[in-house]
Amino acid sequence: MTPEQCLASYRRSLDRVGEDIIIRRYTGAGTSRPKFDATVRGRVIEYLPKELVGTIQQGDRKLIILADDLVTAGFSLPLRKGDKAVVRGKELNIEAPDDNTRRVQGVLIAYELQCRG
Amino acid sequence: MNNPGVYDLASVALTTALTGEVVTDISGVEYVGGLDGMLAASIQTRFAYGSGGTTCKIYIQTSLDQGTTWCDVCCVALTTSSATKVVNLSGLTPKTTAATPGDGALADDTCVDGIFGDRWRCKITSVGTYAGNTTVAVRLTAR
Repeated sequence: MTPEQCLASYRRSLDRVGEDIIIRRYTGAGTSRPKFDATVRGRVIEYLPKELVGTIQQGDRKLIILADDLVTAGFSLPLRKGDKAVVRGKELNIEAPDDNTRRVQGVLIAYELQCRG
Repeated sequence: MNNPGVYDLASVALTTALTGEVVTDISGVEYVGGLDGMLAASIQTRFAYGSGGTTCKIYIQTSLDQGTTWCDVCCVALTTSSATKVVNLSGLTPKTTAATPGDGALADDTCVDGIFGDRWRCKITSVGTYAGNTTVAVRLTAR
């Protein structure tokens, strides 16, 4: 499967079962600091009990989002720890963005985000 | 063209001063290729300012000789406030007066229209140390 085919497959799947998620990055400091939001298609998944190891805590969530959506939205990649994900109005902290797992032939298809909050 | 779409020319967090730093990185390749046949390029530069720094100049470049010579086609100048700037270039614009390719030498907020190679990249020169999550995102919409 080529990266293009894989991306199309992910997009079909997330269109069917996913939801809109806002990826947010703050700049500067203070309570009124500016932010940039990018709306992406993604899916929210709870961790299985057996996955609760290392830095993954109960209540953490795994988000799968399309990297292509972030590129199109003009979001400055890569995602970093401390960026935010807004899921159904609730702002979660991105603890660990994984940009390795969902690569195909070196092309990043989707991010896996460990989120907390 | 064969590959229309949105391309990531730059996604970078600005910190220490950069001098003519090529910031395009497509899986280790410092340019976006495969753009032969492109007739128009819309370029959006998004500068999210955090703190620090003085000036930041973003040069969009193309090459007509497989990357041997790079030619500025657009320069976006930024300072210490967030800004989004867009330009549109056309590959069909006649250029009947010979131009000398410049590399990181274009005047602020100007463009050289009509020069379209098969590969494009982004180069940044900044002054001062930016901080506070200052980021630059440059997207090329090819069609």
